[in-house]
Order: sequence, then structure tokens, then C-alpha cells
Amino acid sequence: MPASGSRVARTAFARLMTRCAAALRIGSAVAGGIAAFAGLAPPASVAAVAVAVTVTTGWSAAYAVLLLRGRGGHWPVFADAAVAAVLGLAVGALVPAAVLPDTTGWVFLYASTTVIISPLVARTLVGVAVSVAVPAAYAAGLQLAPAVEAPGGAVLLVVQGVLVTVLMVVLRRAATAADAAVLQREATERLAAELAARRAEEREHYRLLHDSVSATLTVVAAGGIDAGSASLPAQARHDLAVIEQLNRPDLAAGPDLPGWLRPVVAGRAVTLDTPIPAVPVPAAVGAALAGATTEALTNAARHAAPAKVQLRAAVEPDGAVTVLVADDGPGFDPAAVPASRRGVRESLVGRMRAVDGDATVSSRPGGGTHVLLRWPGRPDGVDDPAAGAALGEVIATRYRRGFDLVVILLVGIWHVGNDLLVLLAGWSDYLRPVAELLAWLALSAVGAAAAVRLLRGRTGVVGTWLLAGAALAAGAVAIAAVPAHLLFSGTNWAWGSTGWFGVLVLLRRPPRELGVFLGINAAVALAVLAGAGALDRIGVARAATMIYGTAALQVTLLLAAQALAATARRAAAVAEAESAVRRRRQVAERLHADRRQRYRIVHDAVAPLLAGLADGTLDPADGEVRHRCAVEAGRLRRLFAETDDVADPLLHELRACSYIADRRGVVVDLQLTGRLPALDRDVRRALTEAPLLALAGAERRARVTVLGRTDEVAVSVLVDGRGPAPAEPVGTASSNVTVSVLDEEDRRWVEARWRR
Amino acid sequence: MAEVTVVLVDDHPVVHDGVRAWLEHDPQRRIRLVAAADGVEVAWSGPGRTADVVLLDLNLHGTMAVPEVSRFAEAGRRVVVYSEHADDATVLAVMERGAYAFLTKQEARDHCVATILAAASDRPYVAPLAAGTMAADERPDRPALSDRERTALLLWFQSMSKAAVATRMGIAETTVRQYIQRARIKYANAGRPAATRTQLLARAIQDGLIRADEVTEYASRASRTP
Repeated sequence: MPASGSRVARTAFARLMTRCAAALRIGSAVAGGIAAFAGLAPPASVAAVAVAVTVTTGWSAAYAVLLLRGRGGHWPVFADAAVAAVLGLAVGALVPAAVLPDTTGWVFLYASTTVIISPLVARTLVGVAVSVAVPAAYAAGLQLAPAVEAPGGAVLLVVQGVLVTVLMVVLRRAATAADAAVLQREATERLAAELAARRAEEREHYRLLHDSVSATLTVVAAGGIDAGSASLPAQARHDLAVIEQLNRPDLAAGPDLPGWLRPVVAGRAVTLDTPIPAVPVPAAVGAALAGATTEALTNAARHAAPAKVQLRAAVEPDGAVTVLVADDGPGFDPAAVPASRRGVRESLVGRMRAVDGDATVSSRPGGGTHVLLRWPGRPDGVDDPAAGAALGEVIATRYRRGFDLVVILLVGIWHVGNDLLVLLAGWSDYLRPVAELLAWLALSAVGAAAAVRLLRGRTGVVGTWLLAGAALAAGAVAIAAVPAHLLFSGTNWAWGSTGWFGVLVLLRRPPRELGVFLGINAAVALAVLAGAGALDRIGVARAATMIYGTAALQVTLLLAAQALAATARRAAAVAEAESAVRRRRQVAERLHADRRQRYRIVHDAVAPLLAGLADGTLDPADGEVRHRCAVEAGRLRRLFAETDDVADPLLHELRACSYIADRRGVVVDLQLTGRLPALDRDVRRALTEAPLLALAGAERRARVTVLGRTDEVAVSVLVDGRGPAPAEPVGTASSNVTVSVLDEEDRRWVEARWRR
Repeated sequence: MAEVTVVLVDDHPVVHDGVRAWLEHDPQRRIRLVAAADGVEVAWSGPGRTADVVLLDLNLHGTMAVPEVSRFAEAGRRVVVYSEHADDATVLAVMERGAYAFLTKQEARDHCVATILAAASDRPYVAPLAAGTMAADERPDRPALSDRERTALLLWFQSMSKAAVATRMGIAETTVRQYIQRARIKYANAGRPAATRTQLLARAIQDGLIRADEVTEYASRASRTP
């Protein structure tokens, strides 16, 4: 099942737990089977043990396969519980009499594994049910067997089941929390990516308009063109085509590099040295390269014709994409071109810098001109591989915190709830009770220190192994104080518990260090057993069962803790890839909507004007036509200004509105008092519309004033000419903006006022 | 009316010539520039000491001469401040310290004659930008202006023509003048104690812009804050 964005961490965690369960199941069945034969003694019979071992190993293999393939739902869990229960009921016929009261028999090992792995793979309630049913059957089996009084291992089975269930509840919560974090992060990033993409495309579109439509309207408005102009109709037709480009379907889906450049080259006198490499480029980069290449080719045609123009697109060894436009024309002296000329600066360098690229123009008189466009080839934010890694850390950190707390809690509960009670209950049995108690206290201190180090993230080798050594020494003292006949009983709590302290101390260290720790611990126990003469055939089998039974779970826990981090990172990579797809789709949808809206605004206002200029029905020298051009050029300028990030957008947009008047030679005086509140774009448009119309009619002077208060903004324009159009905008009055006009002799005074 | 004398403090020689030209533009030549220099000393000695009005550039050799405004005002000298630094805080601070008027350098050309003449007779003159500043004032302890007064200030700021303001408000031009002057007197009333403040308020009472019982004792900003 593919993980969806909201379940990545939980799914990965479940998969890891399933693998642990399968490994523990097979391992304990095999170890138990060997121990069953190695330690065979009455009342267990060869026949009964042979049947039981065959069934358990066979079933364990089948169970592991079912788990790993995710088959059968809860039924394999119940079946395993049934096998363990039957085994438990028959325990009297399957293990030696000496083993029955304690937890060193192979049947106990099987049952213990069942109660431990069931919560790993099943729902909490199912885990609880198994933790009750299997110990109950085991207790019943002990009752049926002769000469056993205490319920022995049955209680331990219940405790094991409950503890593992608690562990799982906490860890699943950590996984859920990690998933929530992923979703939240995804939402934030989508917004950022969307904004970035919208901005990039908007700016690119406005650049296109700036170099074409806006420039044409400004020139006409300034009165520089007469009716006989040959170039104006052609330019107007070209500008209409540019407007149609705004409506190009799905720019964001992004063709590859040839897809961007071929339309640019088509129909132009340019030679391609080599084929354009078919590399994918982000939409914004493709649009920037195409726009800048167009500009470079246009410049070459304008200044270098009839020279030969060559274009070469390439992917550099470092992954950068370059486009070179070279001509062998007369060239120019770059130092002689003023830095402020917008053509080169904005159209080439500006375009490329907007997508983190660059453009260089090199030329010298008589040496031709080279324009080199370069995009460094970094993937855009949407496909950032570092984002997946960061997400992995988010998930891993969540897990780690949950895991640490649970391990600390479980070891603490066990050390008090089991070890201390057992110690006090068997006080008189120990060879040296005080030494036993001191060892218990020493282990408590080690546990406390290890817990603090774990939570503070301290993992230094020296501190870790000082604690590990202390735990091993305390464990050895405690084991050595147990009399020979109780070495396999619960009284010898230190054998198993020392290993748990090892887990606590070494949780962040390489697994082999825990292996060394458990090896030393087992060697100490075996040495004590050997010294006490307890290592006969049955004793070896019991010791092996004991060592496997404790160590397997401890090693599994450590491996699981460490695998979680790796799992989290893999899961994050999946989540990242999937959310990137979703993000891209949503971004593309928004881009499309924006594009339609932008197209409509520009097309409706400007297309009729350009069409008239193109077919000659409008005279560019006519006062009214020039006035309309001034108004539309001002509106376009304002539209461009709306995409800029500035502290006072209203002032910025008013300056944009004033720009055309300025170009027409009008002296504009702009005064501001007070402080401007934050205003929506629509309110700003309503506030600037009437002033824009008035400015289009100004002849020599214009006074623009802005007064800002928390609840009121007044924009006023005083001009010395009325122009042919009415000053009051039609159909733009916003609910909170009122416009008033006062015409006196040769002056027009327009005020737009917004009240909150 | 006798000739009005003015002393100019400005560190730009070009401005000296400009001011002289503006004063000469007045057909009746009502104002005579008696001294001009780049430091305030010129207004404290020689012919400058007795000049009716001090025209003070706020930015002298890179420092803001706001404290100088207080010294002149405390001595009863009628100060008209003009500056390129026309931010709201500067304009309000200069009025609070007892200057008669504030002009921006662009306004000086059109308004300096009217401002100096008004100052010489201890009457307030509000140039458009200072009017806008008062209309935009949102400080919690600002003087309470009436709606009409504030509207008159705002429209004057926008149009620079009292006739146009009168048309827009549907009132007589003299009433517009009165609204603007009354607003200015309210600011003087809230200003720091200084001889110039007393002179302004006394004349305003004579002119009927404010009643004697409306004149309040100055309370410092600190004690006015709750």
C-alpha cells in the first residue's frame, strides 16, 4: 500500500514492527526447539516434544511469512496465541520438572515471544487479549502439571504483555504526531512554493508587457509618433501577440529547453551550431531563458544586421544550462552604454537573476557581441532534496523522544516492580543480602544517570562505558550473591535486568557494543553457574534459553530504536516526493487562474487600443488617443508596481501612475503626511484610479498629496489640464472609497478618499 | 503699515539670493532683509538683533537647529522655520517649541511673504504641508480640532488655494482662513510656554479666534500621560 502524505510515519513504523515480530517469532521457535531437545528430561517425552517442536517451528515460519506479506488481518495473531496457549496447557508434558516453576523452559520462551510480538503487529485491544489469554493458559498448564504450586512465569507473561502494549501506544502516538508535523510542513511549503511560482510568472509576464505594450503606449502618450508612422502598426500587432502569449495554456507544466527555445528561434535569421539539448528546466527558468534569448536576438537583428547570428545552447559539466547568442556585427563599447538603460539591465540580467541565473554581455567595437545566459541548474525549491532530509529529522526526532521516555519508564518500572520486590521477598535466600541490595542501588544509580544522559543527547564513549562497566560490575555482584539452586529462578533478577540497563546506557551506541555488553553479562552468569556446578546438560539448555530469551528482546529493542531513524528518513523521502507532486498540481492550478485574470485585465483594456493603432483607425497624434494611451500605460505601470515588495505599496503605485506624466514632461510634486495603514490591493486600485485619470490630463504641473491616518486615507491630485476624458472613474468606486472632482478654470482637483 | 524687517539664518549662499528675490517679488516691497548669515549669531547681534522676524533654516551645517527655535521663542523672537526636513515629527516639534510657522523649501517661494507678514503682526500662517501634518496628527495628546477645522486643513494641504477650499466646503474664503488659523492657535495653546506663545495667543484673543478662558496652562507631555 503506498503511504499517503498523512500516514507516512505510521506506515513506516508499522512495517518496522512487523519485521521485528517476524524475526523474534522465528528466532525463538528455533532457539526453543534446540533447547527442547538439548534439555530433554522427564516428564517430557521425545515424542511429545518432537510433535510440539515440529508444529511450533512450522507455524512460526508460516506466521512470519503471513506477517511480512501483510496477509490475514488479525487471524494469524489469534492463531499464534492459540498455538502458545495449547503449548502452555501442555507445558507439563514438554519441559523437565526442574524447569516448570521458573522461566527458563522453552515453552515459556515461546509464550513470552507471543505476548511480546502480538502488540507489535495488532491493535491495542487484540494485544491486551493475547496478554491475558496466553498467560492464563500457561497458568492452567502449570496447574495441570504435578508438583507445581506457584503460577511462576504466568505472572511474568502478563507483565511483559502489558509493558509492550504501553510501549506501542506511546510509539504509535509519536508516529501520528510525526505525520501531523509532516502535513503542517507540507501546507506551509505549498504556500511558499505557490507564492514563489506565482510571483515568478507574474514578473515574467510583466517584463514581456513592459518591453512591448507599455513601451508603445508610453511613446504614443508622449506624442512622439505621427499618423504616418510605418513602424507603429507593426509594433502594435506584435504587442497584441504578446498579450495573447499571456493566455498561453499551462506555461507552468513546463516544456523542456528545446520546447522553450525553438519557438524563439523559429523564423529568425539565426544559425544553430548544435542541437538544443533536451534537458528539463523549471517553467520560470524556461520562460526567463526564452525571454532573454528573444531580447538578445532582437538586439542582434537591430544593431548587427546583416551579420551572422549564432545560437548555442548547452549543459555545462557542472550542470549549468547556458545559452550563447553571438553575432559578428560591428559590436559596441560597453563602457559607453549608461548603466541605467533598462533594455539590457532589466530584460537580460533582471530576467536571469530572477531565477538565480545571470547574463553577461561582452562586446568591443568591431568584434561582434556575445550574450551569455547562464542558469546554474540548481533544482527549484519544489524538488529540493534537502527538504526530504529535514523532514526525516522531524520524524526521527519525534520517534526518538517517545522511544527514550518509554525505555526509561519500562526499565524503571521493572527495576522497582520486579527486581526490588523479588529481592525483598527472597532476602533470606541470598548468600550476601546486603551486597545484593547494594548492587540493586548501584544499578538504580546507573539507570538514573543513563536516563539523564539520554534525554540530554549525551552519547560520548567514555561516559557511556563507565556507566556500562558499573552496570556489569553491579550485575556480577548481584548474580554471585545468589545460591546455586536459585540461579535459574526469579531470585536471580540481576541476570536479565543487567541487560536492560545495558540497553538504556547503550541505546545510541552501535549495536555491537550492546552485543559485547550482553556477552560479558552472559559470561559472568555462566561463570557463576559453572562455579556452582549447575552446568549439566539441562542446565546448559536452561542457560541458553535464559540468555536467548532476555538478549533477543533487548537486542531487538535497540535495533528497532536505531532503525526508526533510518525508517523516518526513508518515509520522509516518500512523503516529500508525493507532496511535491500535489504541490506542483495545486501551484499549476493557481497559476492558470492568475494568468486568466491577468490576461483579461490587460486584454480588455489595451487590445482595442492596440488594434486601432495597428489597422490605422486610431491616429496616434490625436489628443484623445494619446490621452487613452497615457491612461492605459499608467494602469499597466501600476499593475507592474503591484508585484513589487515595498514598505508603502500605495505610494509606490502612485509613483508608477505619475511615471507616464513625468515622461510627458509634467513636473510632479508628491507630498505625504501622516502614516499609511495597510490597504488591500483593490482599495489601493480604487484610490489611485481617479488620480491616474487626472494625471493623464496634466499639462505642465501636478501636485499629488497623500494623507494617511489609521482610519482614513486621502489621495489628491491637482493638475493644470483637464484632458479630454472625465476625471471620475466609471464603475471602480469601491464601497469605502469616495471620489470628488472640482474643475476650476484651467485646474482640476481630484480627491479619492478611503474611510475604514 | 511700517516696513517689516527680517533676518535670515541659512548656510546656503544661493538661498540668500533666492529669499531676497522672493521678497522683492512682493509688489509693495513690505519686507526688508536686514541681515543674513550661516549661523544663528546674526540674529542676536547687529541689525539682526532687532529684526521683526527670524527666518531660520532648520538644517545648519548638518545639525538640526530645533533647540535654537526654543531659544528664539523664549526671547519673544518671531521665528519662521523652513526646511527640507518636512517629516511630521519635525513640523510638530517646531510648532510645539513656539515657532510661528513651518515652511518647506518648495513652499517658501509661494508662501514666505505671507508667512513673514503674518508673523510680524503675531498672527499665525499655516502653509499647506504644515496643514496636512496637523490634519494627519494622531498623537493621543493632540489638540482637539473640530471636523470643519480638520477638513479645511486637509483641503488646503491638497489644493494650496483657499478659494478652492471654500468652494469645496461651500463656505466663504474668510471662514476657511478662520478655521485654519483657529486650528493653528489650538496647537499654540497646547505648546510649551514661551514669549512667542503668549504673543500669538494674545493676538488670537484680540482677533476673536479664541476666548481668554480657553487658554490653558501648559502641562508637560510627561504629566499628561496617565
